[in-house]
Amino acid sequence: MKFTVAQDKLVAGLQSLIGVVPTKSTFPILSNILLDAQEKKLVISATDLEIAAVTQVEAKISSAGSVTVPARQFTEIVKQLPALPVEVEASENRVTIKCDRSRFSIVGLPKDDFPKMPELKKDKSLKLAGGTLQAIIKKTLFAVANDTSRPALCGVLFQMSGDGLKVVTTDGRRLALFEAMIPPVSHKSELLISPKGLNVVNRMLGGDEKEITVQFDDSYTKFSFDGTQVFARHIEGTYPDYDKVIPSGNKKVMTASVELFTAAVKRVAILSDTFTYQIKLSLRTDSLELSSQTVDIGEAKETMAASYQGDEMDIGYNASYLLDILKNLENDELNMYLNTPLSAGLIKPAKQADDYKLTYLLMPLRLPE
Amino acid sequence: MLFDNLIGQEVAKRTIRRAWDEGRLAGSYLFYGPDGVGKEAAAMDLARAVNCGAEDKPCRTCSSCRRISTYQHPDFHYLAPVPHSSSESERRKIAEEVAEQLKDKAAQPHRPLAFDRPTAITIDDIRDLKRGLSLHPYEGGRQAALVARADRMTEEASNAFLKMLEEPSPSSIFILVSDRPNILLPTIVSRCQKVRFDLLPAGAIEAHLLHNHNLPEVEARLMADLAGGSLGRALEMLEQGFWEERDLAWTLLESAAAGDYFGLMNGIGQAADQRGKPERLLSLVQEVVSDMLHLRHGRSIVNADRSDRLRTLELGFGNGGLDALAGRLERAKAGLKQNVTPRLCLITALAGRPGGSPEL
Repeated sequence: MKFTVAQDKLVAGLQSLIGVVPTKSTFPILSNILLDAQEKKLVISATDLEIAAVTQVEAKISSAGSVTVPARQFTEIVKQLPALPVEVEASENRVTIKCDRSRFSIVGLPKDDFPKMPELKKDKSLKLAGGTLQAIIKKTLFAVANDTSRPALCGVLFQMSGDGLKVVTTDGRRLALFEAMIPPVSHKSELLISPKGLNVVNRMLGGDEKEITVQFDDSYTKFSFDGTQVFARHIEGTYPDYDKVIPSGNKKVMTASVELFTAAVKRVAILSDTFTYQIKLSLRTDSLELSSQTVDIGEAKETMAASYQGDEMDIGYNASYLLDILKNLENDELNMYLNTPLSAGLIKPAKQADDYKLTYLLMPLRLPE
Repeated sequence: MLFDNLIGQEVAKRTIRRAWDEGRLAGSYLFYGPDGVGKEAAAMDLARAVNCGAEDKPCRTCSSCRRISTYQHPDFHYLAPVPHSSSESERRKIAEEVAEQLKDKAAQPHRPLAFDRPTAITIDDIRDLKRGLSLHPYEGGRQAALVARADRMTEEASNAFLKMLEEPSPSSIFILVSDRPNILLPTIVSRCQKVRFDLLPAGAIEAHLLHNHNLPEVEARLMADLAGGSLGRALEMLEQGFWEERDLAWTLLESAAAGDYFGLMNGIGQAADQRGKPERLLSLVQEVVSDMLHLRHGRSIVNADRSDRLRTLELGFGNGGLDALAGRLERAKAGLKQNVTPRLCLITALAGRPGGSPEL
């Protein structure tokens, strides 16, 4: 195998994949990446068995072939080289890298040991704008559970039907629902994707507007864009029926400025309990009082303007959960739909965006008597 | 065919083969029985079978089978007691060490992973396993989890593991392997289908040593007899300088009989600090003691090549001495299994006076 490639292009390709390479594994081959010199292009693959990523780099191929090289060392070497053509040659498992006056030789592992990249069987697909996928990732991933006792909740639910695409995450205390306005999908499918895979896609997308093809079968979802493919292995298990937990009869509506509310929560949270982060919201006619206290340390209280017309009510929330939600509301105002101090509340932007609808559910904390 | 690479164990083979042929394998198995009789080899073969793509499963030659044999298959999870650390860099080092040992184990499958630090199967290991199993099988087969020395799970790990067994996924199979099933949580045991593995007949071990290791007949027979029904132990003896150890065992006994405590301590000193050596030495000593008892009653003996030395030795111990020694050896072996200091076990077994030995 022998090829010549521009240093900057090779670095870009390698850096997009390096996040997939595991730092510790009992499979030594996984700390390697596969370099596959095909006709006119170099295909680089990395996998940690949960996420697999493949990217293409334009290269001049002198002789086709493939080899695996230690990912971190190879990337570091290429990164430090001057911006000139880099020549890579492999004979057996010894890989030589030449550029300008530098010459490196590293030991690879035979490519036969490298796990095969997944192949999708009878796949279905849909198209998503890069921006939409990034919004989904940013606005829902924070609510994914990291408690391995419920593996299904550790995934991100993608639900496709005639209504379009719904993305749901929950850890049992809060729930995020993202409804993307995309052309109706003819097939009805549910996928449980690992958040790790989505994070990898997010990093690779960067800031550019790209169209992403999402293909999937029972075992994998494949995201393709710009000659790069990311495969995410699905999580097994049944996702709880989230529709049942989203209340429809919450009649008490509080409207407030997102900016003012966020600032007030941040201030009051300073003196909240360090374990529960509990703050109290006291809803009064056309005003909202936020308060917190920690025994032996002190207490905080702040009143802000808010439109509210229901019965007066006190309700407790975890301030850090509340802030996670507030920072994802891009509208000026938010609506909180409440029922009783012990039942789930909904938080939505007062005006939804054009291309998606956001709904957050947050369970209250029981206030001390 | 499934298990046709396995010596003996006809009952165990039949039980699982039948379930396999009828397509009704259990979701979790417990392979239990003494060390070195083929439990783990059988578990590996079952893992290969559920992932093999060939007609006659497991073929042991396809890519999937080969990668399971080398512990490099994404759908095969091998769990064994390993050292643990809270520091990230240390953890990485341990992962490397485990990978290295698995590589050696792929070539010598009967060898357990061995570390110079305390080992266990912890809740972190179980969490990692759970995470791995929560994903769809990588290659579309069935995810297999082999838990070697399952009795070494910590209490927390056992409880987490139990939870996993309670909600089994149809696309995974658990195989627990243990030589001390009574230490496992009874709730775990009750959720597994139990398959018993017995000691192997000496003849079978002898045949294996003759054919696969080209040992001369006399040596093969002696080693098979001394292995006490465990092929693993026979292979270990073969690797660990069996003949020197056998000589050491004799020296120890002869020193004990002659009341040469300096020689005895010296001999114990050579053995006490090496992994696995005290156990092997005690077995060898036991074999000589049982030969002395056999000799007394005119039965056939294992150490036939040293019958003269045996006779001298027997006289040295006298009547009561031999029985007491046999009892002390048995207790010392039990003590070793319960983590009593090897040196102490060897001393109390060999240096104790008849009738006055300290209890372990």
